[in-house]
Amino acid sequence: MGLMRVFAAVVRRDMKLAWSQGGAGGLSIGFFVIAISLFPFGIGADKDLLARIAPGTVWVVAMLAGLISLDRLYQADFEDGSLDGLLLSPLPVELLVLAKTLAHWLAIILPLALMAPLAALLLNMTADGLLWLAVSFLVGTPTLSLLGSVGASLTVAIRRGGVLLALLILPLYVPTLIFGTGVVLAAESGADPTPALALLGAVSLISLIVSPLASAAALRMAAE
Amino acid sequence: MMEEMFQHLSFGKHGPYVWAAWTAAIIVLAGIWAQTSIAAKRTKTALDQLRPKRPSNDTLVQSESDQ
Amino acid sequence: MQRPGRDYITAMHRFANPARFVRLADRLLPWIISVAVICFALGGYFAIFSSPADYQQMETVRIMYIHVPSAWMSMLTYIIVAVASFTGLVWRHPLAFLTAKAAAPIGAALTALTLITGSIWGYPTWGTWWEWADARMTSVLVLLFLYAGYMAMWQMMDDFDKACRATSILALVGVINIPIIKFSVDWWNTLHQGASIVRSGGPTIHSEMQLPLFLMIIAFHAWLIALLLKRVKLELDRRKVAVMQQSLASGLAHQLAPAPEKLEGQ
Repeated sequence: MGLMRVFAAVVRRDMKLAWSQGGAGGLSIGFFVIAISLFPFGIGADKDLLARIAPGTVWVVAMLAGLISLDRLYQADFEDGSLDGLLLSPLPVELLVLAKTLAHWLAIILPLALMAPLAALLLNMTADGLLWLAVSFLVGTPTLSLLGSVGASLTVAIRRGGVLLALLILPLYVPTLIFGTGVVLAAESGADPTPALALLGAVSLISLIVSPLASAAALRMAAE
Repeated sequence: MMEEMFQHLSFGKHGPYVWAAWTAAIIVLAGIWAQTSIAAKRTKTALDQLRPKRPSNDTLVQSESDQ
Repeated sequence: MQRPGRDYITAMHRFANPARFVRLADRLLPWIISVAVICFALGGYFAIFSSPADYQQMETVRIMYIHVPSAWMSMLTYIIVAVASFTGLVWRHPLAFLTAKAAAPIGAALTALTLITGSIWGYPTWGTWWEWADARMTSVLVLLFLYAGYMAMWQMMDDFDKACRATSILALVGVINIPIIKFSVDWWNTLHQGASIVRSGGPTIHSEMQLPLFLMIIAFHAWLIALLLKRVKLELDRRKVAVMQQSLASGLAHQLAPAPEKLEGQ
């Protein structure tokens, strides 16, 4: 039971940090809103065109907004030495990874997921699409934090690791992107969105297993 | 006979595509082979420059005859 | 006080095993290169001059003799990177990590060639240079990105031991893309047809096309092995240069700050 308390403590701490001074919470939301609104400016106000690109655009911009917050996931602790302390705690490193990832998802990604339907409205998405967009975000965005953690832990000790982080993670995000937009596109065209949703969930589950293992290995190596 | 072969080698209507693909293959396969060979030579040169120098046999003979 | 040369010698002991590798590689290389040259020559000849029943419509299929082998090799090379990385993580032998590092650029080149020849073949056949909805095409593109990330990581990490392990973790995370590429044509029905060569009923392609394809596959394999051996030797030499440069630098540091006993003796 002691482990559960430590786990919860890490989650709470990270969530507080995300929205405090130096945290990336507000930054990600702000980026998300601004970047989405660039599209009508850049492409023109053709409502049909915007509605057609809406599912993919919202997903892509959400991924990029999440990316901004990821390089601080482990680096902030690494730089001030608290990562070493966390690694020495009774909590297994894999659970530490899950705790920080959960905090990231709750504090940074979930607000993006809540904003996504509003952003999609800006891009003229249909009502059916909006509902399934929200569902796809709930099912699919855990991979943003989980796979993001893999990239963040691998680049924690690299100077200017943020760019490398993007290069490493974006290919891994592709299945989530394809299935996530697939759900919305299916719903909008009247087809059944559940196959794509199932695949989206499968990707999330796989990353739930892969991420703690890979991230823990990378963190242990970086702390040596 | 030469005309037949030339005819064959133009591969009909989509000939340019076939030529383009095979040329791309030669460029890629030979190109990375060449890059590897050049890099290997450069590294060998750097290695030779870094090796600690051993005294040559001439100087050894000379210093012995000096004694 | 250790002489600078001492660091160099202890470092060289770690490469004693790789010296055996280099001797073996040097013995094998001429044979493998000969196989590659012969098979490329024969395979190329039959690929260009073989005449399937009605060759007027089948001319672009001659691209297959490059596209299919390079696709297979690009995936095989990634598996080599992954297996070498795994071996390095488990047995901690530097040669394993260097093999993975050496293989990656070859894989990236082959993946690029696959995409280029596929695109060139696709235009006259399907009417499009690229089809984002095709599962195999997009997952091969992702494979290229995975290679790029792997190579970028080696480039950007300064500490050799950490770079070995970090790149290995990355390679293993990305290995799931390989079965996705292989089975994507079975799972999704888009442009690429299903498996026509390695399948339970035996190959379904025309028997006259099997010989040149078989020869080209052997040629590509031989080319890959030969180039990989060369690149591993290159990486070993590069590593030696780096180690020697480091020990020279620390040797200089020793000279600039001599031991107290020396100063007193003067």
